[in-house]
Amino acid sequence: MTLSLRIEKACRTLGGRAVLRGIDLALAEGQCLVLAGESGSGKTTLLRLIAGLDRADAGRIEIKGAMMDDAARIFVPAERRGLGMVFQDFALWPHMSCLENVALALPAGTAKRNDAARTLLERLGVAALAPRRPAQLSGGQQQRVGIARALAARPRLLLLDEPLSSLDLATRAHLREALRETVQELGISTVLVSHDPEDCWALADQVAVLEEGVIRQSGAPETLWAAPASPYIARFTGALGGIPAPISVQGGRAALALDGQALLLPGSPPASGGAKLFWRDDAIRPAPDGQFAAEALSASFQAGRFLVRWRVPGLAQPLSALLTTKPPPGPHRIAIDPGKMFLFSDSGDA
Amino acid sequence: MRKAIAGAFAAFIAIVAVFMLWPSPAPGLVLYSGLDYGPAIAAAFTKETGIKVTVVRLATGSLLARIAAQGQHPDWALAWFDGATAATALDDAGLLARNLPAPQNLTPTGQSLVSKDGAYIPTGFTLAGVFISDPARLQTPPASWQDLTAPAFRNQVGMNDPSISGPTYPALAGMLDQAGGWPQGQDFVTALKANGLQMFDKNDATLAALQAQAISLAMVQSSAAVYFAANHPGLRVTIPTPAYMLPNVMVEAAGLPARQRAEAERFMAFIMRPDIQKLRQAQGEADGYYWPVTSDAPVPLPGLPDLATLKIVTLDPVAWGRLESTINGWFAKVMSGA
Amino acid sequence: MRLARILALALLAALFVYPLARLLALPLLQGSDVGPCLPALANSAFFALLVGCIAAPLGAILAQALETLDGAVLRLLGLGLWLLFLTPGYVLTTGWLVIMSHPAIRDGLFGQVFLGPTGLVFLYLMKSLPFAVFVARATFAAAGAQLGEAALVLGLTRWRRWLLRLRLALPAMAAAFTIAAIETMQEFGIPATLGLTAKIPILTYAIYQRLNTTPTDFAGAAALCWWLIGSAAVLALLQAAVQRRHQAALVHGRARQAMRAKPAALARMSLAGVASLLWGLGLGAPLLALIIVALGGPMDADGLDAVPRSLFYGMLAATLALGTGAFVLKLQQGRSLWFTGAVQGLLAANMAVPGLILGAGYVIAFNNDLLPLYGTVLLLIIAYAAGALPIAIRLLGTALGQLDAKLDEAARIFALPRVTRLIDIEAALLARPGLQAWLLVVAAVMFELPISELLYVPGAMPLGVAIVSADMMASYAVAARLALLGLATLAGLALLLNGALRLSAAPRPRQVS
Repeated sequence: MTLSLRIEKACRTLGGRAVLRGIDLALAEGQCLVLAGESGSGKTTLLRLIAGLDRADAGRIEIKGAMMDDAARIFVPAERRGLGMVFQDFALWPHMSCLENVALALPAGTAKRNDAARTLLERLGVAALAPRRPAQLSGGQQQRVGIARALAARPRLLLLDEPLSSLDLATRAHLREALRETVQELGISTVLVSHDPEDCWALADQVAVLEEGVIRQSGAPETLWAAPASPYIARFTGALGGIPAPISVQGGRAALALDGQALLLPGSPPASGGAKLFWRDDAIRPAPDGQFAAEALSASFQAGRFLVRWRVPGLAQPLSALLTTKPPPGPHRIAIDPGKMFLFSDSGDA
Repeated sequence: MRKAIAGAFAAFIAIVAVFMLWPSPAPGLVLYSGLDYGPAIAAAFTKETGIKVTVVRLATGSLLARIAAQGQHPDWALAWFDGATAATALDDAGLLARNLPAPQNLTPTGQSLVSKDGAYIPTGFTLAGVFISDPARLQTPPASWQDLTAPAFRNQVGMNDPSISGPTYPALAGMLDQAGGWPQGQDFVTALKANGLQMFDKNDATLAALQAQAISLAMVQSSAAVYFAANHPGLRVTIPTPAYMLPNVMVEAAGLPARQRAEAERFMAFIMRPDIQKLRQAQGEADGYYWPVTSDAPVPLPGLPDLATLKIVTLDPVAWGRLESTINGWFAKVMSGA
Repeated sequence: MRLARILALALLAALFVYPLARLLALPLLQGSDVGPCLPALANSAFFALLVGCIAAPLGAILAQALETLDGAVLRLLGLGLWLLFLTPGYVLTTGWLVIMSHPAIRDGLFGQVFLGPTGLVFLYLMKSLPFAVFVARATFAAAGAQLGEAALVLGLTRWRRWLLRLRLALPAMAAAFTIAAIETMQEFGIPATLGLTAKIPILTYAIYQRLNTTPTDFAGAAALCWWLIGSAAVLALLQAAVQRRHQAALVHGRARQAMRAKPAALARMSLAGVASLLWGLGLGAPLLALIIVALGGPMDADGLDAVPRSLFYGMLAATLALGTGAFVLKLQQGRSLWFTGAVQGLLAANMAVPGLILGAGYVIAFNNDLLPLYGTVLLLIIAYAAGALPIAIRLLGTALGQLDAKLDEAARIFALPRVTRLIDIEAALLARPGLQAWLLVVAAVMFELPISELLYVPGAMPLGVAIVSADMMASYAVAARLALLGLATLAGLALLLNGALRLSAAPRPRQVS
């Protein structure tokens, strides 16, 4: 089975800085890959390499088995890669109507272009806006047109550059849903750049997180959830914390000193020195027979649950948890699930 | 729709290009004329002989620049303008045909104007610098050049800029000549500047200044002065003593093919005919006010004073021609007060 | 593909760089006895800088007002600027001369002040202000509402908001400054017609002196031109530096159009003042004088064919200049700074030297057995285009720099055919500034004088030559009529094309959803 996208050891240096270092990626047909990472991590650069708007300095890029860029003699420019792209700031051609924007992207030789364009706009629910200019539309509407346009090109690979980040939360949710349905229905391979975790959960079959130009971790979303490989990924997947933790090594495993006791954590201990502790929001719960003593410091309402902060003797900063009921302030006993805790050395490794 | 517009525009430009760039028919004899009657005379010549003449009518300075830039590949056959000094300079550059046939029936004055090597023929003359003034504001006009330095004329006198107005250099040369030549005449010109001499770029600016009463005496070419006075009654033209001759001359380009040379010579003879000289006077606006150099020419236009009453001097065009750039440069420095 | 590009570059160099280069090389090869004429250089530089300093902010303010405000005063102002830029410098100056020939006016305070440096600066400014405004307008044309609204929300005072907008306009102002300064430095017709060249020596005067002596001293004139070019190079470098630091893309694919507002009372009064000045002193007085002159004298239709002739010359030259400009700009994209600098420098030299020198260069370069283009209309058009090329590139470049690069990237990714990309995306987005640049070149070429004098084909007299020729033969009425007819034709063309553009770009009516 040919892979939709294969990248081997891609490198790119811009302005003297190595933006991408040895990127390896593979995307199967009909799958959606989300490229996540902080700003400056290189995700947009990588997307531009895939799009053919930029050349790699080293490595190989193949789309559907055909070599696009081998950093040497072969380079297929953007116009011949058969891709579609959705932009963060929509990039709709301002002097044309929405219908024309979409119709223009249809491949040459398409019959009845206007009808085909209208069908695509209907699929995204914006057929009524066909004769209007982009400037007359809201952000969400413009992006729907942008998606319709990208689909019009019947792309081999659909690229999305932070398509939802300019939109408000509600619109984002709607559009995410529309995107998911469309992409799955049409079976188009997709690469989506985002820094929003919601995009990962809703859309991704595979996630690759870029940190400082390398892929820190890649895999299915649940893999990243279960075992994040870096503090950024931990935070990205919704873990709380990031506090310094006193760690000792006991029997080849890391032990957290809490309330005068040692809590053994899964995984190998961090290499040296200090460590950062993260945990899932349901890792800590009050239990009458809980192993540790803790004081409930505060409880704030957070959309249906309460964020409770626990002071535990032995830790300089409090732990936290999301609970369905609000515990009374004061001393409690808590139970901690070590499987939901993540430890990273200060340098960022697990 | 956009493509249609682009296509239409491209087609339009293509049509315009074909239309405008289509090679024009051969221009026939090309005449560069610095004189107003050039086009009319050319038309008359074509009417009579059937030989096509195309006229390029520009100021003398622009004509000379065009001629000089073309160098040894001229597109002109004949050039007709004021100033023998300019003609000798062109001759020095090897751009002119020599041994041109002198006009028939030349007067003694005319004879004195013929060039040594036949590089140009005189076709008439005007005076390089005469005075035109308003008697209401200036009761006693100056009689000689030296009078201009008198306090009565302080800040009252204006002249053209010899660096811009071609026929003005001979006037400047004349002023220097009567003050002792070059470089002895420099003191006179410096004294003029000290007495408030003003400079304007061309005839029309100088005369406009006179009309606006910024100056009360303008020193311009005689043809311009008499023409202006004819159209503005009340102004008076005075000829200084001595007056310097400014011939209008015709030259022929070097290296013309034989047939064009023959046509050119026919033209040269044509323009000196009495009936054609009458046409020159009638159609020439200011330039029509010239004195003829042939004995069978018509009487000069009314308004031109009788030559017998004037003391006229001819400058040596070769010597003064060679000094032109030096003198003009020096004059510019003096006038800007540097 | 690369071969085609190299050939095109070679053709460009042969047509637009070689002629002037050859002329400028004369003093280096032959040697020249001409010194730097420091007082003339100082005066020229002083006027250029002064006019540039006034034109840049004034142009930016007017441009912003024209783009963001609405109302009768604004329309009048816009129309006045257009007319001013269509009218050639010597026509305006001649009109002023007619006025100044009345003793009452000339002797009065106004006359005294006008016939000196003040009048000179005023006329220089009138000539270069339209350039400045048009260059600056491209910056503001598609500025999203957000930038102004951000300033409002952040609670900046009105004055600070103006300053903010001005800072955003810095790149455009720099371009405007450079154009105004270079134009002023090489302008000769205005000071000569005013008769001030003796009192206030300027560099171009020294050059014309060299050219008007016999034998014509091309080497000396070219030597002086090096000084002009040097000054222009300094100015251009300055502009490049400002451009690099302050360039900000303002046309996004998602910008909302700013709502046009009516100007506040104070703004309206000052704009009305500027408009009156433009219409009254800049345009009205000289044009009125010309109309009066035109009505006198016998009414004959002699020589009127010069108007359509020069109009067509102008259209051809403008198309050539803009086409070449667009090509050069595309070439520049993604190239090193050196390439850009070299190209800009070479073409700026065309702008820095007076038209007479440029024309002379073309005569000398193409008047030989090897390249016998002299005496053809083609060479005349090429020379016109060469003179206009720097302005065309500058105007187009500013407009291009304001476009969001993503719009073109989208066109590439969606594999739009080349032709579609060129016409429907790039050309369409640049249509408005492109049209203005085109019209500007048509106007400049239509009334152009020195290049026309040197290169025109005998028998096919261009308009500028016809006007001056009529003036010389004291047919002032004919000259005035030709000038006014030319202006009317240009104005008509401008109206027609702008109207067509507005119609084709009009947003379709909103549908009820």
